[in-house]
Amino acid sequence: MTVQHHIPDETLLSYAAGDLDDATSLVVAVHLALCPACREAIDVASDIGGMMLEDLAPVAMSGDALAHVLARTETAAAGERPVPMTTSQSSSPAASFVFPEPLRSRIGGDLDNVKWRRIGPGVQQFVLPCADGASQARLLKIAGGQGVPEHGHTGEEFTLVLAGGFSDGSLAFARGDVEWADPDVVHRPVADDGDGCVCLAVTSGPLQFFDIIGKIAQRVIGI
Amino acid sequence: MTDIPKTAETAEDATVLMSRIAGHQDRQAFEVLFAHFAPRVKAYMLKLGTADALADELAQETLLMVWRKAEQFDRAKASPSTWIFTIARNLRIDAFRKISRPELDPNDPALVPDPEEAQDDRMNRLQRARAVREAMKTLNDEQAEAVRLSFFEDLSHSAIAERLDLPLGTVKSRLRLAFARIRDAIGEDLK
Ligand SMILES: [Zn+2]
Repeated sequence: MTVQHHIPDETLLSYAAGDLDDATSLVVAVHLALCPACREAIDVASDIGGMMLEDLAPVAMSGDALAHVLARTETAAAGERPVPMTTSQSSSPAASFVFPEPLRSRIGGDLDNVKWRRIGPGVQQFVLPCADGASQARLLKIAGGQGVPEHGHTGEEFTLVLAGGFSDGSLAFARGDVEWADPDVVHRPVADDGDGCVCLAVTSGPLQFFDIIGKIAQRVIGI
Repeated sequence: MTDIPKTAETAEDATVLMSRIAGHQDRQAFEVLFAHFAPRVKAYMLKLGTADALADELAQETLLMVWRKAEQFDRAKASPSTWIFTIARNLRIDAFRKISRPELDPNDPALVPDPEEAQDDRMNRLQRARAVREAMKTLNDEQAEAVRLSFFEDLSHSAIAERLDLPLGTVKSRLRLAFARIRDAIGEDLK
């Protein structure tokens, strides 16, 4: 199945430029792992960065900069952060990973390792650690036929399907697909019947729930 | 003794230098690459508001990473300046965050591979970088400004909107149109 719903182009551009907060970068990077088309787009956006770097007026380096770096090329990278090679060595056979990198590294495991917390009927979540507070990233596990309470947002929301699927109105979302919603959108995603849905949801700004149960949930669990 | 390029001014020469470094740990090639790129990476850091000493340090760190990761530089994937830009960008972000920037892992078995036909259809990466440069010239001033602010001012869409006193939607559509134009120009037909 090819991905049908992508990260918006202007968000891809900002990812390449390095402008996105941590949580939004995470959902983009995970989508890229599942979407060759957006990887192509990112390569082009990165070329813009390369070109702009090339065109900058050079600023002289400190006198001993080259000597410093050459000296450091001599020493092994002991004690320094290793180059992130593959982090995918694992006993699990490849095809069985549900979470692509960089999500596995972020949570320290795959779907089986998630410590879910129930937040409502048929809905569980796991809040991911993030490097800044600009947006929140969490995993949601929604039972078949269940929905996230109807809500709007004060900021953007990206919902990336990792397993199963959901529908929102007439649109269907499967593994790799991203639903993007801006503050004007009020929506109610409903998980597909059967196994339901596991997704990565990133929101900037708190959600606004419209029904009473949602409001209580918001107060109690702080989503 | 040398057929090593004297400068890294062109992407072709920079590519030769990269393969000398990857294949032979060629320090002379590295010095040429350093002379070209380190001062530009430093300029990039300064543009983004990094203090001088840290900008110098991050530029050194970037070039050190170029040396260490040279074997991973895949000439089929990016031009040298694009590759070095991505290293510099990530190091800058990581210098200010506790968790490193989320990046895909090209060796991840869970990665959905590129479709077969894409492999040979694709424009050579150096050609593509050149085409991007040409396409950038065709952007109107407003689009070019929005792109420049994204890359050099570290501004989110809403921060750009604030800076230019424009509605958020206008900023997004300028970026979207700029990007679409560039991708059209290089004959990408995605999605
Ligand atoms: Zn995509």
